[in-house]
Amino acid sequence: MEFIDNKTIKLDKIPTLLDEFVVDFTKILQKHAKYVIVSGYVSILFGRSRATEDIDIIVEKMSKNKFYDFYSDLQKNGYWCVNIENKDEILRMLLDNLAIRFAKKQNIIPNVEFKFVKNSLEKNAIKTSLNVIMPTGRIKISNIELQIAYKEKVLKSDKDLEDAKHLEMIFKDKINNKLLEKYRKMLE
Amino acid sequence: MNKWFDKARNKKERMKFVELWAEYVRTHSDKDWSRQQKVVVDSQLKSLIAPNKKLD
Repeated sequence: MEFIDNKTIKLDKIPTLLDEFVVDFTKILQKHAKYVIVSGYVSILFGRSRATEDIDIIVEKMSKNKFYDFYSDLQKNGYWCVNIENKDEILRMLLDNLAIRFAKKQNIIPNVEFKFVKNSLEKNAIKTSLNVIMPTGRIKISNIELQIAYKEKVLKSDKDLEDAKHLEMIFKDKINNKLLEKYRKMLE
Repeated sequence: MNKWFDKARNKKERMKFVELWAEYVRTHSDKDWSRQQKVVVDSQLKSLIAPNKKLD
């Protein structure tokens, strides 16, 4: 892994099926809105030896027309909404701060757990996102300090604490410790 | 503590392995660790997907 600058990481990995799924989905999404990938997949991207059923993505709010264009683009590229089919209902759920799930047609797993940004922390995650360049494509992930603190202080399951430890070790020479402490205090 | 399973000890041992693997990832090439990771991730994912469904 190579740090090209403080916002960009080059990862020369052999892609897993999950990596391929994420790159495929975000290639469509990035044409329509700003987004950030958070939670478990961030740890898996950087080597955690486990899979996940869902990829958590936070997306900036879209207007009705923008969302319809995006949804149509997804459908053209072989995706469906696992929760409901009606696009008005999907948008209503998103605007009610509920998450919806998109998967490849005829599949349920893996899926993207897709939600609109709903608070300042999530806005900040989009604003401070990192670019990861892989041989198969480029994606945007949450900054590492926020991921570690969120897993340690908010999610707290054994799996999340292991994810946090993995990230902390992988990025031990790169982590902004002041920022990490700030997030830890904020999320306590 | 359950007589058949020491949860606290298991948790500690799991965390030790997480640290060992993270150190391996940190000190080896992306190609090296990702080749090994791919075996685990892809097989776990395939086992979760219904046998009649195709991902790729």
